[in-house]
Amino acid sequence: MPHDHDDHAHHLLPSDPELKLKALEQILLDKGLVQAEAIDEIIDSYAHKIGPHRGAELVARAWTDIAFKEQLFENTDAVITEMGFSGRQGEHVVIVENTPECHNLVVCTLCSCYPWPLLGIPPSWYKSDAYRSRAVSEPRTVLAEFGLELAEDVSVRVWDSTAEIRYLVLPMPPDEISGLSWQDAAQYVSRDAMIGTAIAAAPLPDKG
Amino acid sequence: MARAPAPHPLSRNLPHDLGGQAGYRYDFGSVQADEPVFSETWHGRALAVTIAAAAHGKWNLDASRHAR
Repeated sequence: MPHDHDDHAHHLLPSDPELKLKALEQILLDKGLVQAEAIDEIIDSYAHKIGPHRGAELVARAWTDIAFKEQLFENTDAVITEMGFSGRQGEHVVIVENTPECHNLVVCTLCSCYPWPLLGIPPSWYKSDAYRSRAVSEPRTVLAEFGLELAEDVSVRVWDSTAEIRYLVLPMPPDEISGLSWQDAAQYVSRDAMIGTAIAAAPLPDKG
Repeated sequence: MARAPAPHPLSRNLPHDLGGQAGYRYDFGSVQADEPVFSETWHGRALAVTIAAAAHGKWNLDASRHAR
């Protein structure tokens, strides 16, 4: 049935890529090449279960437990596996530690390699052409735009991810976490602090 | 003079080697801090369909990048 309006473009139809996706998904389902339950499970995992809270746990435990931190640097992949945080796009993780002398920043100039099991799906800016090119050519300017002004005597080390190796920044612990449990300290660890575009800081107030 | 062989289709200078390239401007000060994991519902479905279908091993990472 025609459904035209003079005063506005109607949006009853999904967008073009969404339609293509529906068609593709239906073909794959009809042919038995993918299962609907698997698709739902993958969506649920990345929407609710796998995200920066995992990386934050790792960082907060490293801050609050020196033995754990030593283990983490000695045998990173084994520790991550033991925590149940291994998996797709995070098989080989390298932890890079911020110090008063050196700040670390992670990028993937090739595409958007990212430690999925520890941080979830990368934000759209991480995948942008601008971030991928400028994080290498002018990291201090990029950091300043993110609101992070580094002193001139702090060096910046940029890590370019690969298909095999994913990097996670271990930020410096803020003074406030002294004496806190790792569970409380984890509240100070943001996703961006583990990418390197921010430092660890008090959590933003909950918007409710 | 011998002609250089035609480049392999995957060896072209595609936008997958952006490190340090000039010309990409964007002010990261305007980044949305609380961007949802999937800004559109279908984005999550597209990811899931891709991951589920990839289990058949019909393409590798390089082919996947090339297709983007």
